[in-house]
Amino acid sequence: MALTEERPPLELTSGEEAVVRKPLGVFTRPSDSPGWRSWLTTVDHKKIGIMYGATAMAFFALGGLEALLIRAQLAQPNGQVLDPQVYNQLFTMHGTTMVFLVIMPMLAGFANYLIPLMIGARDVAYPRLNAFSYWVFLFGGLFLYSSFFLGGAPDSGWFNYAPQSGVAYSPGHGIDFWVLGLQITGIASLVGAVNLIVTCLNMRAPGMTLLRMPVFVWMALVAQFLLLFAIPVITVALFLLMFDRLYGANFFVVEAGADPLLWQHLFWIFGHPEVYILILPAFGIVSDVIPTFSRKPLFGYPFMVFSGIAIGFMGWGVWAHHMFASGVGPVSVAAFSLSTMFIAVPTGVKIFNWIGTLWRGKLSFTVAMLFAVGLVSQFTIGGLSGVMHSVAPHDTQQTDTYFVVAHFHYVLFGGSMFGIFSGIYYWWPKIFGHKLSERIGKVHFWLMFAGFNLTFGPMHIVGLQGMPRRTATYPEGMGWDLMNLLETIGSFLIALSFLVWVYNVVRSRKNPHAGADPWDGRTLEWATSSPPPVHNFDVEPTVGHLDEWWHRKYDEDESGRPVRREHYEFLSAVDEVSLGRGGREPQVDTSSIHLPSPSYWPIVIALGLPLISYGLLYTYWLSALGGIMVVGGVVGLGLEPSVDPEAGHDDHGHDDGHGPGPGTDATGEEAELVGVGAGDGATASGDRAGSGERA
Amino acid sequence: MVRRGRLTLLGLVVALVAGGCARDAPQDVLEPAGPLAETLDNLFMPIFWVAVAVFVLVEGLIVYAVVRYRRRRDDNDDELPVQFHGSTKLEISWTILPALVLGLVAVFTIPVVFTLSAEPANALQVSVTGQKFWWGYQYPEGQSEFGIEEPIVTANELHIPAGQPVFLTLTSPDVIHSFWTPRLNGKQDVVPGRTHTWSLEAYEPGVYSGQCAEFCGTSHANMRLKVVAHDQAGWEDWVEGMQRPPQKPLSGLAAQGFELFSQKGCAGCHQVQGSFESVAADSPPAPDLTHLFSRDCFAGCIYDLDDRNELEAWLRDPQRKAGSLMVIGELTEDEIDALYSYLETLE
Repeated sequence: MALTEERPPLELTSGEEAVVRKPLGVFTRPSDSPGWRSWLTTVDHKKIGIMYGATAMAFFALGGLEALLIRAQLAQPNGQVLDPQVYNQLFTMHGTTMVFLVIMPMLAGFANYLIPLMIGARDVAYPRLNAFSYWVFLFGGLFLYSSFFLGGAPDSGWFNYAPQSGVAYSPGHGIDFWVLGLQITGIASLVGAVNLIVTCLNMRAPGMTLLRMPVFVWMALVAQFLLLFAIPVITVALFLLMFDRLYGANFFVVEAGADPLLWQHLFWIFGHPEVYILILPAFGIVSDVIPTFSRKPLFGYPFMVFSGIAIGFMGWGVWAHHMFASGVGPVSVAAFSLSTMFIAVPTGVKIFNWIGTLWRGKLSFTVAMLFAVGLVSQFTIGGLSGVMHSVAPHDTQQTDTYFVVAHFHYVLFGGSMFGIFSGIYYWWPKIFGHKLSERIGKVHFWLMFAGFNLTFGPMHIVGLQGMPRRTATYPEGMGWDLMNLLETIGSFLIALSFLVWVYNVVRSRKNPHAGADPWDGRTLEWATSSPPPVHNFDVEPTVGHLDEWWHRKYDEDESGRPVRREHYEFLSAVDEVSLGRGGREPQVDTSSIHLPSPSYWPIVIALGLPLISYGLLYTYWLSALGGIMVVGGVVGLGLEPSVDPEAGHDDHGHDDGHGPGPGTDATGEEAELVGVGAGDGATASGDRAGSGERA
Repeated sequence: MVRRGRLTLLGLVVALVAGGCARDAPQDVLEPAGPLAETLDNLFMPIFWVAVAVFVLVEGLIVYAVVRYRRRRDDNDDELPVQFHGSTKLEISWTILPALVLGLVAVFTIPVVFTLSAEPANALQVSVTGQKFWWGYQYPEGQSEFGIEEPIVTANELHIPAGQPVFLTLTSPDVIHSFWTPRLNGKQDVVPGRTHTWSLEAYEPGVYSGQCAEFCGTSHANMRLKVVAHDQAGWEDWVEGMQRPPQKPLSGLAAQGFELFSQKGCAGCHQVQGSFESVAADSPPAPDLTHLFSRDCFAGCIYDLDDRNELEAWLRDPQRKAGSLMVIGELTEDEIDALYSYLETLE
C-alpha cells in the first residue's frame, strides 16, 4: 500500500543540541522512578490507555448512581425521592457523563492501548500530546462535576436546547460549567483524534497495509475522523452559547431575533456523528473478539471495513432526524427520513457478517464472547427501533418519549457498553497479565444482560403508551406504573452486575499469569508479552497477512483447515507460560530502543484549562494564572526534547525499562523499517537515528 | 444455559407486551382516536411487523449459530473449522435486500410526510400558546360556521367539535415546548420566534390526554393538557357559555373575593373578561380565568378543579407545583375562602 513508507514523514532530526537540563529553569525533568509519580508524567500509550479506562469506569459509577436516583424517583407515580430541580440536574449529568466521560474516553482508552500494539508500533505518533489529551479529559470531567458543589449542576439536558439554556431561563452557573467543561473535554478529543489518525496512517509496521489493519483499528480510525470533524461543530455551538451567557451576545436570544433551531442544527450535526463515534469502536472490538472465539477469520473483512467507512460518511447526512417534530418543513423531513432509513443498510451488513463469522465456527463462550454476542443481538433491537424512527410521520409520536430512551440505550448500553465489557474481558490478560475470573464474569454477564433488558425493554412499551422523557414525575392512571417499577428493578440489577465486575477486578489480582496469548489470538498484540514491554515489541514485525499473528502460528492444509506450525516466534521475550507448543522467544538486543521520556508539561498545560474556566466564572485572576500555565507549558513542551539525553542509554530513557533480551540484533533492514516512536513531531527518538545508522 | 436464558427472556417480553397493552393508558399511541393518529398508526404497524420479522430472523440465526456451533466439552481443540473469509454473493444480497425493504418503507412514508403537512379544509382555527408551564388557547372571532362570533380565550383544556378538523397555530413566548395529544396526532414543537401549525381531529366525543413533550424547565412534567371533543349539541353549549361573560358578584363572600383578586395582584397576570382586563388578551402571562369553573383541571391540568382542597392548597402555596411562576402573598384562611367563592362564580 502506498501509505507504508520507509520512514515516517514527520521525522525531523534529533534536537539534542537544544537540550537544557532544566527546561525554563523551572524543574528537573521527571526521572524514570517507578511508583505513583510515574503515572503523572508518563507518555507511554499503555499507561495512558489504562488511565483513560480507569477514569472512565469511575465516571461510569457516577453516571450509574445518577441513573439509580432517576429510577428510584420514577419507580412509582408521584415519586417523592427527588425535587424536580435535582432530577433535572441528574438526568442532564447522567447523559453528559455517559456520552462524554464514559463511552468516549473508554473507547479512547482502548484505542490508545491497542492501536500501536495492533499495528506493530512502539507508541503513538505524539506521546506527550497523548498524555496531554488524557489530563485534559480528566480535568474537564472534574471541572464539570465540581458544579455540584458550586451552586448546582447543569439542568437542561445533554442536548441543552436554546433558549432554555440561556441566562434568562437558566441563571445559575450550572450551564456555564457544562459549556466550559465540554469545551475542555473537546480539546482532549480533538488532540487525541489527530494523534491517533497520524498513528494509524504513519506508524504501521512494514507490510501492515491499510487492509491488513485489524477491524478495531479501522473502526477506531473512522471514529477519530468523525471526531476530527464533529468536535469543531459542537465547539462552535458551545462557544456561541458561552458568549451569550457570559458576555451578553445574542446568538440564541429570541427577543434579539435569533432562531433557536440554530442550536439544534449545530448540536445534532455534531450529535449524530457522535453516535457513530460511540458505537463504531465497539463494533471494532467485537469484530476482533468474535473471530478469536469462533476460531475462524472475520467473515467479509473488506465489507466490514467499507461498511464502517460508509456509516462514517452517511452519519453526516442524518442529523435532522432528531428534529422531525421541530418544524423544519416537509422537504427536509422527507430527505432526512430517507437518509436515515438507508444508513441502516451498512449497519445491517455488519450484523450479517458477524453472524457469518459465527457460522460453522467453533464457538467458545468466554465472557468476552458472551458480551460480544450480546452486543450483536441487542444492537439489532436498537437498530430496528431506529428504522421505526426513520418513518418520520410516526416519529412525531415516538420522539421525546421513552421509546427513544429505549432505542438509544439499546444502541449505547446494549451496544457500546456491552462491546466495552467484551473488550475489557478480552484484553484484560494482555494489559494486566492475568485473566478476570470467567466464573464471576459469567455471573456479571447474565445479571447485566437480564438487568439491561428488564430496564430498557419495558421503556419501548411505556414510550408507545405516551410517557415523555425528561419528566421528573408522572401521575397515576396513565398505565405506566408496572413498567416503571420493572425498569427500576432492572436498573438495580445492572448496578449489582457492576459490583460483581468490581469484585471480579479486585478478586482476580491473584489469578495466575495468563501468558502472552491466552485466547489463541489473531492479531499482533498477542505476539508480545503480557503486559507488553514498554517498547511493545523486542522485534518489529514485518506483516504479510491480515491476522498476522494467526498466520505465524498456523498454516492451512489443502482443505483450508488450519494446521499448527511446529515453530513460531513471539515478538518479545515472554514468560514460560507462553512457551511450549512451538513458541519461541526472539533473540535480540533491545538496549538501543529508545522511547520518549516522561514529561511534566502535559499535566501542567492541562491543569491550566480548568483554571482559565473557573476564572471566567469567578475572577479573571484565575484565568490569568491558567493562561500562564498553558502558555508556559506549551513553551516548555516545545523546548523539551522528547528523549531526555541525560537519562542515559542503558535504561532506554523510559520509566519502566524492559530487560534487554540477550543475543543477536534485529536485521538492519527490519530496524530501519520499523515505526519506532517518533516523538512529538519536533524530535525523533535517538533510536530512529541509531537504527538508521545501523542500516 | 444460553438457550434457557433466551427462552426466559422471550417469555418475559411476551408477558410484558401482553401486560403492557392490556392496561388502560390514556396516552396510548397505539390506540388512535382520530384520522391523523390513525394515518400514523397505519404507517407504523406494517413497519413494526416487518421489524418483528427481521428481529426473529436475525435473533433466530444468532441463537441457531450459538447452539449449533458452540464448542463442546469433548471437542478436540486442535481441530479447527475451515477458515473461510467471506462470500461476495452473500454480501451483495444482504446489502441489496434490506435496501429494497427500506425502499418499500420509504415509498409508503414519504407521501404521508407531505399530506400531513397540508392545512385541512374547513377547519376550526385555534391559536395555541405554550408557556411555562401551561397551555393557552385563543379561538379567533368570526368563525360563524362553528358558532364563534366573539373570540374565546381559555387555558389547559382545548375544546373541539368531534368529527371536524382543527387547525392549530402554535407559538411560545419563552422556551421550546411541544404540543402532544398522542391519540389524536403526533407532537409538534412550539418554538419561540416561530409560528408552527398542527392539525387535530377526534372521531368521537371524549376527553383526550396530552402533555408537553419538549423539556422546558423545572415543571416540564407538570405541563399537561386535555382535549375535550364534544358532539354537536355539547359544542354549541360550550361555545355559548364561553361567549357569555360572568356577572360581577355584588355581595357576600364572593364580593370580598372579587376585591381581593385585585388587591392581591391576581389581576396583574390573570384576565377575567368584563372585570379584569388589564392583561393583553392574546398573550396573557397566566391562564385566563373568565370561565375557570367550566374546566375540570387547572395549573397545567395536574389538579382537579372539582376537589375544593386542591385549589385552596394552590392558593396557599403555588410552589406545590415546583417551578410554578405564580406569585401570591401569604393569605389568611378567610381570604382563601373569599377568593375561592369568587373564583367559583367564574363558570
